[in-house]
Amino acid sequence: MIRCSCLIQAGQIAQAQQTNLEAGLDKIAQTYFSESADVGWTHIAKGSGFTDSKPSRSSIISMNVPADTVQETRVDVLHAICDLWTTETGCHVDDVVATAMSA
Amino acid sequence: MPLYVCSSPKNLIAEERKPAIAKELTHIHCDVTGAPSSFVHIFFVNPDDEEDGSVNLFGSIRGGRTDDQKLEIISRMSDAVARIAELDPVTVTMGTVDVPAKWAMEGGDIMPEPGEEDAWFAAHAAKAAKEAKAVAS
Repeated sequence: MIRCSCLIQAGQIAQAQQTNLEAGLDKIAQTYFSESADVGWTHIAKGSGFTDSKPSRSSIISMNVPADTVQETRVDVLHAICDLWTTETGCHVDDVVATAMSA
Repeated sequence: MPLYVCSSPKNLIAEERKPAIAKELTHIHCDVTGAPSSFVHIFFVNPDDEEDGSVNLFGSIRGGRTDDQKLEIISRMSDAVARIAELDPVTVTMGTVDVPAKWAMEGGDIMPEPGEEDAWFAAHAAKAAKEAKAVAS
């Protein structure tokens, strides 16, 4: 199971989009690691998210990938996450922060 | 990146104080590390299991910072949260974790190593301009 943690700004992503994003993250996990994604969501309340000291529009997506994942694969995964987010939500790529972390 | 998540029970930190805390934490991070402020994210959350009366600040920061820098960040940020939120300093705890820059992507580009931000911004802006031109034509 590939753990994914998503921090998003409340009210910015509709429930249907969130469902599609979850399916998209699962597809990415299946494609690159042959495992399902376990996706957790944290909605940052209005007035509680700041980027550059201003109200934030950013989504932060952290995928915990196997430790032996090579850098080239991490980059591909990160691009896939950014593409998923911008396509599904219509947000600007500058509002997407993604990490491919390993313990 | 960095991402600082400030966890506390609901209403412990007054809503109207959050912008000032975010501004101060952003300033401290940039002052200590020299990083651009546009990279700094400050999020406040209220987990259900947060202990009454305590605040936990957790920073995910790019790897490469020195131990002295991290200690200064922890000391100054903890003090700032307590001061601005008008809390007893002993109730504020803080930790950080290093994230290799090459494991993080912002704006569609792998993040720069500390100190390489200017070149990153230049390349990022050039790429964005090229993409905008391609869309327009």
